[in-house]
Formats: sequence, C-alpha cells, structure tokens
Amino acid sequence: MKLLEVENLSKSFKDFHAVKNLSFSVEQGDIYGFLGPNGAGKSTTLRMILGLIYPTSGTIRFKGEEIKPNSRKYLSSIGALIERPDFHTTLSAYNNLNIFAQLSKIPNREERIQEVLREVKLDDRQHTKVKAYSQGMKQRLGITQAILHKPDLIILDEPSNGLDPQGQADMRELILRISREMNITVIISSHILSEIELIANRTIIISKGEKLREGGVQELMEAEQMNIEIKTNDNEKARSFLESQNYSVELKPKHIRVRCEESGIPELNSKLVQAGFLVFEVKQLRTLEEYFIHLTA
Amino acid sequence: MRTLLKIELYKILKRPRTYIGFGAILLIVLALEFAFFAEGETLIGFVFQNLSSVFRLEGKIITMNFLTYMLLNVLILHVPILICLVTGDIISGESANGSLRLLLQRPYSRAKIYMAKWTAGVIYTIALVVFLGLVSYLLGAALFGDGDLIVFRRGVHVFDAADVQWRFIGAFGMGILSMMVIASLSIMISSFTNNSIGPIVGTIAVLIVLNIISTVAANVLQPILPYIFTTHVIKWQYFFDTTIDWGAIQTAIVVQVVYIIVFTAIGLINFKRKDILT
Repeated sequence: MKLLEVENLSKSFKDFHAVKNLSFSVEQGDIYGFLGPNGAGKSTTLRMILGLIYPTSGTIRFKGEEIKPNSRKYLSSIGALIERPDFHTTLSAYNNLNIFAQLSKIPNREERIQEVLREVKLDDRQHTKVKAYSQGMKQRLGITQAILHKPDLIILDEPSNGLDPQGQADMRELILRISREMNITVIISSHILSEIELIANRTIIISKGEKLREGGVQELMEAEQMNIEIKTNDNEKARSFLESQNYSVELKPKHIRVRCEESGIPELNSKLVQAGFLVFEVKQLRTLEEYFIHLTA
Repeated sequence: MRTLLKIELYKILKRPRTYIGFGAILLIVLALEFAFFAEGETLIGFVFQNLSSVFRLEGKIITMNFLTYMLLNVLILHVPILICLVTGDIISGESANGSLRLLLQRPYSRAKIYMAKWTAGVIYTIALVVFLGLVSYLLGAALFGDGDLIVFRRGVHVFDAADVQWRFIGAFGMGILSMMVIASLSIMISSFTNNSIGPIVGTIAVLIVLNIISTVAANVLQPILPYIFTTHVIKWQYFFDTTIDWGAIQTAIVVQVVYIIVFTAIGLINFKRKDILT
C-alpha cells in the first residue's frame, strides 16, 4: 500500500528552482532512502511534505488523501527530524518531550514519555537540560520526539549529521529497530551513502532538484555495469583473453579491472577458469557510492 | 488553542529573559522611590521654586499616588523596550534556534500557533504593566503613605486621594492598550525575521523615530499625528486632567485598537504564508 505519493512536485525561490517535477512514492513498511549531494533539494522536498515549505506546484498524497496548503491533520500521523534536533535548550529532555506530548494530545503521557526515553536510552538523563547534551544525545532525543505520538511515517533528514562512526552505527541500529519493532515507515535522507545502502530497501537519487533514479537498492546496484577487480596467476594474459571475449578491461599493477554487470560475474569467472587461469580474487568495486557519484557527476 | 497557549506561557516562564523585564521594573521603581524617600523635598523643591510665589502648598506632596503617577511615565519608552525583549523574540527566536520547525510539524494551523503566541505575548505585557502598577503603589504606600495627588500638566491639578483610584485604573488600562500595540508590532516584526535581535532593534527603532515625530512634529506633520500610535502612548495622562477629554481618550482607544488589529493581521498573514527555511 502506498503511504506517500509525490507527483510533479516543484519549488522555486524566485529564479532558483530547488525542486523540479519530482515524483516518487513510499510504500508502507519501507525504509526509503533519499539520496543526493548537498543542495540537491532533499530537505526542501521533505519540508514540503511536512508543510513547512509551500510547493510551487505538484501534489502530495498521504494515505491517498491530497495534502492541501492548509492541511494539518495528516501531521498527527507523521513524525520528523529535519536537519538538527532543535529543542528548547533551557528545558530538560523530559520537559521538551512533555511539550510535544501535550501538543500531540497523547494519552498516558507520562508512561509514553518514559517508554520512548528508554527506547533511545536517555531515561537516566531525562532531567538534564538539553544544552548539556552531546550531539549524539540530541539526535536520539530528536528521534524520540518523532516517534512519541506513534506515527505511521517518520521523516529523518540527515539523522547522522555530526555523529562519530559509532554514533552513526548506533543511529542506524535505532532506525532499523524502530522500523521493525514499531512497524513505522521511514524516509531517511542522507548524503552519507553507506548509511542508505545499509538500511534502506528502496531509494531515490536526486540531484539539482531532479530525480535521477528510483527503486530498490539492490535493483539500482544491479541495473548497470560495475567495475570488477580480478586477480589471476597471469593478469596480462587474462586481460588479452577477456578483451578477445569483448570485455572492457584495464590492467592494473596487481589485478585487472573489468566492466561487467553483477549478473555476469559467474560467467566471467567461469570463462577465466575454463581458459586455464587461476582466479585468486574477484571483487565487486561498485558500491552505491560509486553509482551515486557516477549518476550525479 | 488552550494547549498551545498553555505551552507558550510555559515557554515564556522558563526563559531567563522573561524576568529581566520584571527585574528592571523593580529596579526602576526602587531607584525612583528611594531617591524621593532620601531627598524628595530637595527634588520637588526645584519644581515648586517658580510656583511658590503663586501658590501656598500645605501637607504632603510626595505620596504613593504622586510616585505611581511619576512612574507611569516609564510606559513611554522603558517598558516598551522590556516588552520587546520577550515579544520580539517569540517567533524569530524559535525560528533562529529551530524549535519553531518542531512546533510547526504538529497538527495545528499556523493561525492558531500565531494567535497563541500573540496571546501569550499580550499576557506577558499585561503582567509587566500590572507589576509596575502594583510595585509602585505598594512600595509608595510603604514609604510615603496615602495622600492627595498633585499633577503638573498643562497647569497644576490637585486630586483628592479618594478621587485617584479610578484615574489610575483608567491610566493603567490605557497603558496596557498602548503596550499591546507595541507587543503586536514586535510580534509582527518577529514573524518576518529569523533572528532574535532584529525584531527587538526594529521595534525600538520604530518607537524612537515615531516618538520623535510625535514630540517635535513640524507643522507639515501635524495632520498625521493623530494617526501615529506613539501619539497615543501618553494619552493615559488625560485621566489626570480636572476635566477629562473623553473624546480624545476614545480616539486614542480606537486608533490603538486599529493598530493592534492591523499589526496582528499582517503578522498572521505573513506567518501563514512563510516558508520555514531555518
């Protein structure tokens, strides 16, 4: 079931076209990656979904219902963390959450606040003022306010910004847990591609406000040729052999680099073995990152 | 709306700058009343120097009523500045620190959010003026006691102590209305900017410029004076005339209410249309 549908969404700021005719859809249960370099229009798009920025044109549907400029009701089913988790820094985490709980008219407020604080492991620091929190703690608190009202969809804009590698791994683990255990659909934007590759099942790649690709992460990875590094007992002869088989091959000091689709790797390996080469290593070089750079370059 | 208002008031109460206004008023009142307590006769002597040949004054001149009347003058510039510190920051401050984004992601219309912020700002404004009145009155009562009120404005007016209560209620009411105009102006400016300082400086600049125009207006500006709100900020003084000009008071009320409506409408429309980019 489509939870969110975006059709021909555009946003211009005077002469600058931040988002151009963007269309995509998010299925219930997805962890939907929103990929693009800085300035690609990711935040603008997510803000339009949340009603923070008004679209110049296009439509957004949530659970099949069109979101009009003054629609607000749908927001009770969406939680979000856009860019930085900006709380009232002179208030404690608990008091900040209490404000959001009141705004969302959450029943059993106290119980729910404690539940989500435990979920992100901030229950022991709940009465500390937010200004004393580390970046990682603020990000986790940001997630807490997003899931507090048990939304169907959470939108996380660069949730790992400013976190160290361990913090990023913890954040990924938290997002996966939220998605699985609470059955919440997630849209996550990032320019850290490994983040998307590791957790998203579907993704969109945008650049300069336009959609470049949309689909399953695996599909995107398999869609085009990638570089394969192969180490054999005689790399120079292996290159000549593969060129005679119409492969595009580069000779590197310790290996050969071959352009090949992912599905063609077994056949390539088999050809080399049958031709008498000893294959020591076959390594896929293309990650989503390489694909992304290739697309957005 | 009630939830939003409750939360806005809670946020105001939790901010340290909220108490700067109350602290400053307390200091102003303490400074003035203790100055009069210590050397009031000398201070008042200068005023009466020229009048002593015409009038013979008996009894107390410096009373709690006199001090409260004197302190009402801080409504012209000092209290507006203190009001701006909180109301000017009410939208732009949250916009600057990003918490406005979190608020607008909740299922409340922007109109409701703006009106909750405006109402909270107005409640703060009323609290500040009432605090000024109470502190002036109570400290004045403790230091100087009750007595007749002598006012020097377009002549000398002497009011019986029993005749001043309603005049003070009227004057403070008028003062509250004038301060509501200031609050509405700074909240409106606050809706246009994304930093805390802009609306505060902007409102103070508008007040200073308009006060100068209202005070030293050239003949060419005279026709527009009745329509400038700062002209009416001193209209609380009209309650201390022997014969009250109710027409002028009525005009002042209408002009200021119109300003409140216009400033609030502009701020509201802008807030509703604004893209939240911070």
